[in-house]
Order: sequence, then C-alpha cells, then structure tokens
Amino acid sequence: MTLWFDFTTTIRNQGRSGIAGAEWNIGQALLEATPDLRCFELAGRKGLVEIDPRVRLAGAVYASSSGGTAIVVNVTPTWRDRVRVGLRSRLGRRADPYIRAMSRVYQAPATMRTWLREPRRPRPAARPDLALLGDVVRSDDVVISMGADWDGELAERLLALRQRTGCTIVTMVYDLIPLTHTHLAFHNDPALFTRYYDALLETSDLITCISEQSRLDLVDFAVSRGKPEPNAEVLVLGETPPPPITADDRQDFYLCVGTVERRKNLELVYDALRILESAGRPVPTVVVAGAIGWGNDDFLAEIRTSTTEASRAMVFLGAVDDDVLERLYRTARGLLFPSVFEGWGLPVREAAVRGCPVAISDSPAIRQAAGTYEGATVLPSNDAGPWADYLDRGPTATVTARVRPWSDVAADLLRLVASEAGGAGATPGGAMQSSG
Amino acid sequence: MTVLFNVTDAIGTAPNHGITRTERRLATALAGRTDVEFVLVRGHDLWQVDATEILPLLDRPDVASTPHVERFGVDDPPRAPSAVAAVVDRVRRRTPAAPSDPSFSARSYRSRADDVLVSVGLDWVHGTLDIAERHVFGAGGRFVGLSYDLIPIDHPEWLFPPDVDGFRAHLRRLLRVADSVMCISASTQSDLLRHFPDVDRTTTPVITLGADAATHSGSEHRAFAASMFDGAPYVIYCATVDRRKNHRVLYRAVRELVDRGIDGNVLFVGRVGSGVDDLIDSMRHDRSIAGRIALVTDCDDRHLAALYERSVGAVYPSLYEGWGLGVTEALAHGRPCVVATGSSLGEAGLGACREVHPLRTGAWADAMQQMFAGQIPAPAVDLPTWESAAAQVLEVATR
Repeated sequence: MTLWFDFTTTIRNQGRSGIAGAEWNIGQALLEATPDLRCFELAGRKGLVEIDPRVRLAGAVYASSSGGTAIVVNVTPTWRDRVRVGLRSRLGRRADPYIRAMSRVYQAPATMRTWLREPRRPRPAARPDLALLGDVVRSDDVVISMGADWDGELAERLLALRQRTGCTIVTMVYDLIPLTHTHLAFHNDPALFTRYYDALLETSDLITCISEQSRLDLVDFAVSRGKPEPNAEVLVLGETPPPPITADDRQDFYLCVGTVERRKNLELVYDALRILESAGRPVPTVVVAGAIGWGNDDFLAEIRTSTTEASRAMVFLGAVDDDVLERLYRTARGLLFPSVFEGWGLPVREAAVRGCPVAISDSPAIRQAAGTYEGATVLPSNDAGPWADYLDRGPTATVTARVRPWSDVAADLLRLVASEAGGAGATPGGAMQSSG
Repeated sequence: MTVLFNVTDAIGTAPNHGITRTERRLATALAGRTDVEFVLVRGHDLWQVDATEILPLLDRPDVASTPHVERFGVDDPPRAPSAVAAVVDRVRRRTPAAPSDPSFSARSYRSRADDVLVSVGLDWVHGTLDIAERHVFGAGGRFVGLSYDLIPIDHPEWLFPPDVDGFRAHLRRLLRVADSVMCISASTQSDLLRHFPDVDRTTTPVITLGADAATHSGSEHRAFAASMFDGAPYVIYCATVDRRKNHRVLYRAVRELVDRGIDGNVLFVGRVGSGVDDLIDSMRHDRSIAGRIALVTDCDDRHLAALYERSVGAVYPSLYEGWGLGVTEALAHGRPCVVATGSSLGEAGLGACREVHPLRTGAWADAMQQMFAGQIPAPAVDLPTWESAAAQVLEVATR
C-alpha cells in the first residue's frame, strides 16, 4: 500500500493560511513521518500528476505571508467615502460596481508602487514530466486530499481515479458554512456548494472533519440529500509550536484576529465598547489584525467617522505578517473571538498556546477549539452586554495551553487511514516500509 | 402682539412623520386663535396665508396606501426601483406647495416689531434664519425656535453624509437670533446646554409634544394585520429602518428567543433608510430566524393602527432620540412599550415604560419573552395633547 498526498491547494495559494496552511502542515508532518509518502497535484488539463515535493514545493510556500499594507480605517471620511456612502444610500447594492470601479482606479498607483517595491517571489519550479496518477496508483493505495476546490474539478478527478484504480480516497471537510449559514458566506451560492459536497460524499471512502460540529453538519447534509451516513471522523488540526517565551509583557489592548467579515461578528465588540462608553467606564483599545472583508460596510462606515470613543478605540491593522501576529499574541491583554460560527477556531488555539486569555463566542467548534484551556471565557455571540462586562472586569491570568503539534495530527490521520485500509498489519507506516 | 407661526413644512406634501407631523399638529391646535397668524417662507420672503384655507392641508387624512410586506427568509425581496424612478420619487416627495398653489392664496408679509415669529420646522432647509435675522435685527421683532435633537453633532456616524460643522453653525446662529429655543425633551435641552454652556437655561424651555389619538381601523385593515405571521403573536417596532434606530438588537434578540425555544415574532414598520444594507441582507438569508421578522413598508395610518391593535406590545430600542413620537403612538393604542435608555425615550414613555439598555440583547429578549407571555400590562397613562403643546408654545412666545 502506498500513501499519496495532495498538495494542490498549497501550490495554488502559495501561502500558509487557512485551508492551504492545514494542507501544507499536515503534508510536511506526513513527509517526516513516512519518508516514502508520494505526492501529487491537480495540474490543469493534465489531471492528477505525481510531483516531487522537494522540487515542486521549493519556493511555492512562504514562511510568512507578505503582510500587505496596513489598512487604517480610523480616519476622517474622505471625499471618496462620502461619494461611496452617498451612492450606497441612493442606489443600494446597485452602486457596488461603480464603487468597485472607483476604488480600483484610485488604488491603481498605490498597487503599482507596492508591486514595484516588493521583492520578486521565485516562481514555483517547473513540473518535470512525472506520471499521471491513473497510471501508477494501485487498488490498495490510499489517496489523501486535505485541500478544497469549490469548482469541483478535484473531486471529479479523484472520483475518476478511484473508479479506474479501486484506490481508497480520504478527504477533508472544514465546514459547511456556505450551506448552513448562507447569510454569513461571501459566496452565497448554495447550489455550487451543494454540488461540491455531493461530489465529496460520492468520492470519499473516509472524510475527515476538523471538528465535531463540522462532522455533524456533514452528516446532516448527507441525510438531507437522501444519502447514507458518510464515513466521517474528526481530525483536529494542530499548531506550530511558538518560539520560546521568556516573559509575558501584556499590554493594555485587546486583540481580534481574522478577516473583518460579517461572520466574525466584530460589530458585537464595537457594541460592547459602546456599552462601556455609555456607562462612563474606560473603553479599552481593540486591535484588529485581518484584511477587510465583506458584509461590514455599514459598520465600517460608522467606525470611519471616529465620532465615538468606541470607534476611536478600534484600530484596524489590515493583514499582518507572522512576526507581527506573534508579537500581538504575546502582548495583547486578551483575544476577543466573537465569531458567529466557525468550523474550528485557529486564532483561539494560537492564542491559547501563547498563554493569551481568550473570550470566545458560544459556538460548538470554537468551544471545541478552546477545549479545557483555563484562559477561555465563553460568551454569547448575540449579546454585547456580557462582552462589555468581560472587558470591564478584564481577563484573569492564565497558563499556557499544551501545543498539539502537526506530527500528532499526522499520526491521528495515519491511524484513521490504517483503520480505513482495513485491519491489523495494514498500518500505513508498516506498508510504506515494506513497499520502500 | 401677533404670533407668526411658520407652516412651511406643514403645508408641504411630506409624509406625516416627525418634524412635519409636529408642525402640522401644532398649527392645527393654534388655528382659530386671533393672536396667531400663519406664515410661510418662500424665496427669502415671508408670506401670510389664511388659516381657513390651509386647514385642510394641515389635517389632510393620511393617504391610503397598499402596504408591502416582506417576511424575511420566507418572501422574495422586493425589486428595487430604477435609479431614475428613485430620483423622480425623491424630487416629487420633497417639492413643497408653492405660494401660487391654487388651494390657498399667499400675501407677502412685512413683519413688525411686536410680532413674534415662531418656527418649529426644518429651518436649516428653508433658510428661515435669514428671515428671522431680518425680523429680529431689522424690524425689532422676536423669534422663537425649536430644537428637536443634536444628532448631527453628537452622532454624525448615523447621518449620510454627516455635516457636523454645518449643523453646529446653524445652532449657533439660531441661539443668537432667538429669544428662546424650545426643546422637545429634557434630554435635548441637556445636550444643547452641553454644547453651548453659555446659553441661559431659562431660554431653552422644555415643551411636551402631544400624542395623537389612536386612528380607527376598518375591517380590511384588521384583516391585513391578522395575516401577519399567519396570525401568530408579534411585537411591533414602528420606525425608519436605519442604523440609529438599532433594529439589529431586535434581530439578535430574535436569535436569542429562537435559542430559548420561545415562539413570537417581530414586526418592523417603516421605510428603509441608511446604513442597514448588511443587516437586511443578514435577515433575508439567516435561516435560524426565517419567518420570524417581517418588514412592512408604505404603511398608512389606518393599517398601522390595525397592526398596533393586533400586536402584543411595542419595542423602541433606538440608540438616540430627541423625543419618541412612536412611543406615545404605541401608548395611545394601549400597547405596553419597552424603550431604550440613553436618550429621551423614557420621557416619551411618560415614566410608564420599561427601560433597558439599547445594546444589551438579553434584556430585550427577556422583555419580549414577557410580552409574549402577557406579563407586561399596558400602562394606564394620561397622554399629553397637542392643544396643551400649543399652549406651551404660545406661553413661551408671549412671555
């Protein structure tokens, strides 16, 4: 039996965040655990092709995201803001194309300057002519794909591979938010995601889910589609161990991490600050690290006016690189994570392993991510009142949570794969050794 | 001494809400008094009009309309009108009656030293202060104004676009020219004096606005109300859907009620304003509250009366108000009402309404749960009348 691992999402995204980050880390851990692991990618019209990870991944992934330009929204409204708000109030959503066009034109010089100043990233190495998977995968092989490809081509190719070779397919589900919480999904296209998850169910012999909530949502989805209950298991994600901590130097600000989008529910934090302001209590600074996303326009328009103490207390850094994020986790008084719904809660884990107290919303996967971390406080995602009370009294000192290294994730995955591949003596590691 | 009461907004075609409604009700209450003349502002001049001719314009019945209902998560959203149609509609709504309006005659009026010009309308729109300054500094007369709220200064974040400096300049000019600037609540008076601490408090008297008597609804209106939420109970919030009115706390509260397993719905009545695109988009697509929140637009007074009669109570979570005509309206219909703290809504509730913080969802969910359980009785209050409000205006003008 040979294990195959898919690096398509890593190569396409060239980054370590989100799904690509999970795929990259699990893949690296598997490569260390099973040196004979073979890798592949979906290479356009060629289909699934084997890759040499030492060649193909060199330069394809960066140790740190570029960080981008800090987006400071705490400024006096400009004439562009006024035009934008005016268009929005008069034309509603129909104003969006004009607003986007105006934004692109205005930002073009800055975009060009940034592009010229950035160091050129080396392009991923060219693909040598390697084998098509259909020609080399055998019936007792296990093909693992931890990425996501919403247009469904990857799932189609995997299904064709399984039908041709009889191999075992293992995939990953992160969440079903586009179907369970359409109002929180940028791509409000249930038909597209229904097709995607249908294909995933049809393709996979085993589906790993990053939380129990995601597993339950997947089972509910399958039942709602008249399909049998899928073979789904929870595979909890890991964390990269943080650099050694010499001493905590917590400063007087709170931290929010994540794209500033509707699902992240940042407006609840703002409302909590407004409650403190109305009560004459001290209003703490809240630093937001994350790119500006969708579904927040009205909230951000209010923040931009900077007319309330609460709006002036919120500092938007935009996307930050890994070094800045590390420093923020180390120095923040606490992490605020009011998200309405998540498939997991990576920032919660990242904060916990650095001993940063966290206030989290009462969402199942986020609770699971917090686990038994002593520094976690669970608050309602609908009510700003308890968040205001929390900010007013402040978090209590806590201890650092235990890190779950990616090697543990890889080990768990191998265990699940062995179980799926069938019975004793069929552990992937052993099989790899014998095949090598 | 003659009191010149400015009816520029009252005789216009604007909907019967807010400032326009206040001016119409006061003018109606003042009509027939020998010491009161009605005037209007056109082209930087003052025009006198006969009360008998404009009374029908002041007391015109609300135009009957066919309300539109969208039950979020159940009904398809309405198609937005084209940009051209929207502009035409705005222009049509804003065009006031001209002095040459065939329904009444207007005569140019030259103010005298013993006249008191009283204006309670949109003075910053019509240029009333130009005339007031000529009247006060040129003719030696007196001027009395009215302050509704200081939202443009204290909360520009809710105005699109904001104009802090412009409104501050207007208020400064108003305080300079006016003998008295009446305030519609103690809350507004407090805000005014906070921004202009040198102003003598006695020149900013608080007057209490009247409450309209409940409008009677017909059987067709009651049938319309009965069709809401398929006959299931609901609480009502009548206000323009905009950011300041804080509909989002009720959206969150409904989510909270769903989590608690409590039945009950929330009905929004009012046109859609600014800063709520994201909220409405959320409510349309949030499956957890599908069918639990509905919005009624283009609602006339008789349909609204029927909706009030059918409701189990009213809620008013607005983040800031100068008064709260919607609260007295709910009380006039005998509905219990829960209002937000932080501005004048407690005053408008005449001390008989429960007050909760506008941003604490749990408190709103608790209150609505009790309303649905019939645990919040309708308060027995003596509502203020417009006659009494008009008498207060005259007292300030003639003192």
